[in-house]
Amino acid sequence: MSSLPRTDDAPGHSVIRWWTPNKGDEIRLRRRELQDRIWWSVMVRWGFVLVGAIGTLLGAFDLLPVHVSPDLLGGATAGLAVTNLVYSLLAGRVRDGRISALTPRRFLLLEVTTDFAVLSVLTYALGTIETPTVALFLANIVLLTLHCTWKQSFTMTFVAAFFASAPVVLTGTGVLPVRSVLGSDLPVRLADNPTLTSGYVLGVFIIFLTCWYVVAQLAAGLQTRERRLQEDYDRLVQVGEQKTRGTLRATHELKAPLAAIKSYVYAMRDGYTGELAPGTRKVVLRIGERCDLLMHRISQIIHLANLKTVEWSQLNFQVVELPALLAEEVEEAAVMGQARGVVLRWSPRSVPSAAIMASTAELRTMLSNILANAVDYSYEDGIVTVEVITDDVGVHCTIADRGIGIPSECVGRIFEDHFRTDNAVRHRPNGSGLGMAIVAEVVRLHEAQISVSSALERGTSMTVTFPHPEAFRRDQR
Amino acid sequence: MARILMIDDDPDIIESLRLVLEAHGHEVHELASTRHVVEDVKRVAPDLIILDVMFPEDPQGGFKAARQLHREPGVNVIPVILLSAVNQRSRLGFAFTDSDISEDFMPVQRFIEKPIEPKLLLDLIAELLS
Repeated sequence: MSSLPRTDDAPGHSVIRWWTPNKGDEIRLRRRELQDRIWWSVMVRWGFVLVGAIGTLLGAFDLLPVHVSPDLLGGATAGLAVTNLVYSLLAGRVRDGRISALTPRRFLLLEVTTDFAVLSVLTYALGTIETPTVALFLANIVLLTLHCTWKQSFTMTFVAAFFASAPVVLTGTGVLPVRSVLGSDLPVRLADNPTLTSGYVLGVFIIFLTCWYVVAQLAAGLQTRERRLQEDYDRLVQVGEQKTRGTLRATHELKAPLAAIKSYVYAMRDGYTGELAPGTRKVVLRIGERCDLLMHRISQIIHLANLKTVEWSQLNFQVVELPALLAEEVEEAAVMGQARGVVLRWSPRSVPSAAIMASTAELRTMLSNILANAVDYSYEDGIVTVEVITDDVGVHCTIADRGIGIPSECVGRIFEDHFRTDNAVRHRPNGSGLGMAIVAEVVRLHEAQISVSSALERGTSMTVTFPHPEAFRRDQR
Repeated sequence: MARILMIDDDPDIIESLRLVLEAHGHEVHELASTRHVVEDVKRVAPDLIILDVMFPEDPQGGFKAARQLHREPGVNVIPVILLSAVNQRSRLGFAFTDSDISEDFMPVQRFIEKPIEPKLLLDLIAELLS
């Protein structure tokens, strides 16, 4: 699965915000896009309500240059305002999935149908063919064609044509009196002539269906391209997963013989093969150390491969108090820091309590990796500062060191598998370059974001931002 | 001292542990496959079994053998230590930890990861045989 870095470099100071997509993100994005459109149309409608209210007021005091009936305009505006108020309230619930029967698409259909009814009244109030009000139907047809199925948008185009021609048909059949806002005789001539009325209705249906066809064709072309891109992306993800599983098996095959070598080393070290000469003992211990290093690397590869193939729903997510869990990891890192003269301390701004949704084992892995890096790449007598703060966005956990830093051109690559900077290799030759890749995967599983700010020879600060528990994968639970 | 049956397809694991176990007076028997595990265990009549998980003929052979032994009256009283190089979080078709030890899934007394420190192994054997 690919990862998307976003960098924002300043001289001597590099910042990266890292976000790794999860499976199903594309569906969520599409759904969110539709929700945004719904919200956007609600806002546009409030604009129309405002214009309608002003028009009604001006009409009531006879201040409009045209003859608009304040009753009709006011009625249409009030109808639009009431339905839009209901939709404004419902939109939030639909977005949060609290009304299961009303999907965003059904919500859109309901909204647009109301719009058609209101537009129909408005078309009549504004003198049917005297003003281009009927063109407003087309905006809704475009919206429907982009976001609904072929059948839904086709049916709704007929509904739109029906509502758009209703004022002309009703005035033509004498059900409603003819209205004119400009004082022209066009509405009267149209109503009095059945051939013109039929031609108008036919014209509306032809124009609306042509509009629907053109937009549907364009949308179908775009959807085909999107589908192909999605299929290619899925294939890439599949290849990546197969590769990861291959790595998993291969590394396990390596681990078994190493375990046997280490088992022999234990037997020799403890004298089960006879007394060892001091030189031989030194060599045996060195073999054991190299074995440990290799096994640790293999374990990291296996761990990373596991994380890459696992999805959040396969882990045990629960509410975790981040400061408490972080404190335990800080305590362990402090022991490691002591050996290197590095002190770990809490920022005074840090909050004592901040709940997040987390898989404890994976969260520990992530925190211990970041802390170990901060200690490992600190200078002697260095200080590592730990902080947890909360705001509306989420819970931010920052671990900052005053160590060797990351060259600005490398900041965007530190989450790649096996990537190590030259200064890191010089400072700690035995690193595997997998710690940050593991961190990135845990960040992905927790739907978190990580940002890295670093200045060479001045230090690195990493901030992981977790969503608040109520926001964690809200649309997938 | 105890009669210990080691079931593992890796001769080096058997040999390295044999050095430790025999030095402490244990009698070590070995098996490279789980194909006839119940018959073999009945024949050897060990006091304790050290069992690998993955075998060339079956990647989950150790689990299956443990379940077969657990179902067999007479041999289901013998303590079993599952010893494997499989990482506890591996997703090679199965994943397990010590907490997965159960009569249904992993009917053994202990699960430990290879390699094991000789002292830890000896202490564990002493504990299980006591």
